[in-house]
Amino acid sequence: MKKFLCLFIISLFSVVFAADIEVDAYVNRTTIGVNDILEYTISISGENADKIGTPELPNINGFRNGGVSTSSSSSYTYSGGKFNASVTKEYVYSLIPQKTGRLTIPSITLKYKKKSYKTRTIKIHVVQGSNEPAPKTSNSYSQQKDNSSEKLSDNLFIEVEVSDNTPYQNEPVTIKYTMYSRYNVTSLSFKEDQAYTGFWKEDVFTPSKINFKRTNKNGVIFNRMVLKEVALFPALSGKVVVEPLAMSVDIQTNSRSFFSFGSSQTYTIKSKPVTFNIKSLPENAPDNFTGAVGAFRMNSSISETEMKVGEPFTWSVTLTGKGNFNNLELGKLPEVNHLRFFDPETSTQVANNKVSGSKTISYLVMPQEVGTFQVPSLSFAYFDYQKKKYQTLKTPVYKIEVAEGDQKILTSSTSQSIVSQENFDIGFIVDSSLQNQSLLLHSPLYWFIVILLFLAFPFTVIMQKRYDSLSSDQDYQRQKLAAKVLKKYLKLADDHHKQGNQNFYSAVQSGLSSYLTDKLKIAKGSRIEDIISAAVEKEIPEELIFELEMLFRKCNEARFMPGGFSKENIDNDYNKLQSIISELSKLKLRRKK
Amino acid sequence: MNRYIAFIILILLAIPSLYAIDDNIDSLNQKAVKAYQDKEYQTALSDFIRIEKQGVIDANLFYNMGNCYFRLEQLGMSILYYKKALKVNPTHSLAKKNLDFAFTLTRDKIESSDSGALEKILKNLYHSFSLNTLALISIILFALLVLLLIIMQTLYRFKDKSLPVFFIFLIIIFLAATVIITSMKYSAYHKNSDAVIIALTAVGFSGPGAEYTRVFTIHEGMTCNIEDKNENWVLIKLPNGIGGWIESNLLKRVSL
Repeated sequence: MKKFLCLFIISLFSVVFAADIEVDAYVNRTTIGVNDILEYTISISGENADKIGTPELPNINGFRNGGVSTSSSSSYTYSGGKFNASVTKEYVYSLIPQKTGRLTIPSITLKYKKKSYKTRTIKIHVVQGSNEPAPKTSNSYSQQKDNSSEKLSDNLFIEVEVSDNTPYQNEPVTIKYTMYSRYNVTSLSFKEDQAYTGFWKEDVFTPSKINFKRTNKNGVIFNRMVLKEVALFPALSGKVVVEPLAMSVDIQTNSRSFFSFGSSQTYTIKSKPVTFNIKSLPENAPDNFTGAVGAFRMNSSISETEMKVGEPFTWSVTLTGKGNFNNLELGKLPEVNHLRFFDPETSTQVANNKVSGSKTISYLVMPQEVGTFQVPSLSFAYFDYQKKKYQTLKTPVYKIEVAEGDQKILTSSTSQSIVSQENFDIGFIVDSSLQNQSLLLHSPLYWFIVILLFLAFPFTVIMQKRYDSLSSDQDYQRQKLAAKVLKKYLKLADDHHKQGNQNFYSAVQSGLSSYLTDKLKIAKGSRIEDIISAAVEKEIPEELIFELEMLFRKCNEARFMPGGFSKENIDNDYNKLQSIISELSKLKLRRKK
Repeated sequence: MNRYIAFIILILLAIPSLYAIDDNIDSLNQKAVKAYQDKEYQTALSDFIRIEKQGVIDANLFYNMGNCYFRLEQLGMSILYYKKALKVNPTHSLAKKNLDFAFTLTRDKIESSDSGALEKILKNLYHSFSLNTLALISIILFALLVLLLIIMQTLYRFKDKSLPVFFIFLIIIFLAATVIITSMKYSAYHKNSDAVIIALTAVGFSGPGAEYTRVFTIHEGMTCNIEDKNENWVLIKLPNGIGGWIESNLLKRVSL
């Protein structure tokens, strides 16, 4: 029984042990150069090692994580009557030293099935330069004992050429990486993409195959190859560091013996980092400056200066020189009424060095109205880094003459346009003679008319009343008729008078007597005597009565003495008659009560 | 009877002579217009001011003065004179247009209170007749009324009077309406409470004095209503309803 219990406990332990993992960490070297790359490996072994994910590496002081590669191996062991599968997983980190000195890679903690596993801490000594030992090679150049060095960094290195370390912001600079080697390089690869933080980067040259050329450098023969060339346009000012270029280089090593063929060995080499001190642009930038830095010339041309409405012309502006052509912006186009600028066609040509080139902007312009117009000046401001000051380029103003087009009727494809107000201003003054527009309500005349109108109705009523009472009076009617009768006779008398006829008197007599009978309101056909006496009764002035008597007497005489009256007599009596009638008509005879 | 009609015609013929203007003033006006056309706005303005001092009330004169002030960049004065022109002749479309344009240049946005469609139509109707037109319409309506009464009294004396009575009632209604509107306009014309800020900046206080709380800040060209007066201070009400006291020399009344 005891035995069984013991066995059970042991088997239980084995199960526990089998589920366990082992974690270890190691590096390829403990002393490296600052230009070298440290390989830091975390190995995890155990039955379930591959069930643990890639360990996360914390930030290690003095190193930068340059990526990870994984390898795994498995082995099976037979013990205790069963197979134990063991998997070993290795994570190889490339750590790039950032500074020299004694650095420590801290312990890294892994968690698996609620248990923590810790790696050991590793101390690293980072020294200047490269500490990589030179491989033994069969390279013919290294036979020159005088110049050969035992150190790898003297025989395989990357040289950096910078056009300008203190550029202005946006000023184009080039970096050229050249590899010098005294070994037989079989393959090359870029370790990682360089990040050009703070720069706009344009690739100038990237090799497509290994292409070494023999060159003599300081009396030593090297194989030389350009690895990379970039044009950079600094976006920020101040101190900016471009990270070193890291290359993985396979070198064919010396064959140790006759039977062994040489093997290749992989080294990682780095260039020196490039430090820029970027100067910011001066303060006094022109308003239309959009950030272009370089050295430019500007040309412009216009295809035609005389055209008809609807005939388009091209206006092109070309910038040539040095600068970042891919990021170049021309000034804003001022708007011109009646000239329609279509979206421009832009073509950029950049030379292989990515720095010099030209940019052409072609506007298709459609004149829409008749007249003389100006194609506006387009201005472009940039900072000239050679002259160290701002420059503004301007295109000339082109004057164009637009004549009436042939096309009177718009085709369906041309849309009609709504007339738009081009500018706003106040209206022009009014040139008219002044009128005093004082209020009518203030004028006395207005109120006088109002009062007049007010009185008009009562006045009519009164007038009508009076008319009514008169028209009911017979005598009044006769009086009114009298004037009419008299007029008739007088007309007759007038005719006779003009002829010098004696009938004048008879007309006068009948006319006057009939008038007076009506006027005096006595019976018609009364005798002359009766008329005169009635006239005396009506208080007609005595002189007038006397005149009347005289005239009537003459009429009687004329009746009994035909031809007894001369022309002068008739004239005389006609005048007398007129004065009598005018006197009579002036008289107001009192109505009978 | 004929004599009375002749007398009335004579009086009616005399009306235009009310509006007649001295020849001297007319030539001064011509001179000022010429100066304006020659872009000598200051000269033109001083001539126009001389005409105005003669007591001439003419919408075109005020409109021209507004233009002169506008050209001389005195926005507040130009708005004042456009308003004067519109007060004389509410249908002066040029003055209306220029006033609207001048309002777009003021620093303070001048909001006109939105009103309903019916209110708008009534307002337009109200503003489309000048006081003089209304006075003329009412006197013509009155004359028509009197004429109809006379006709009724004479021609329809012994006939059925329903037709003239109908027309008389119609005219009485129209006449009453015109008289009411005319009197409303007349009182508005004489209220003179409309004012325009002519100073560049005017600060409104809660009382008549700078020691009171500062209520608002308005700028040249702002229009307001004067509600009260206290020595050198006036209580104004802005179009948006804010009220406050400002110094009276900072504004000018739209008065004729």
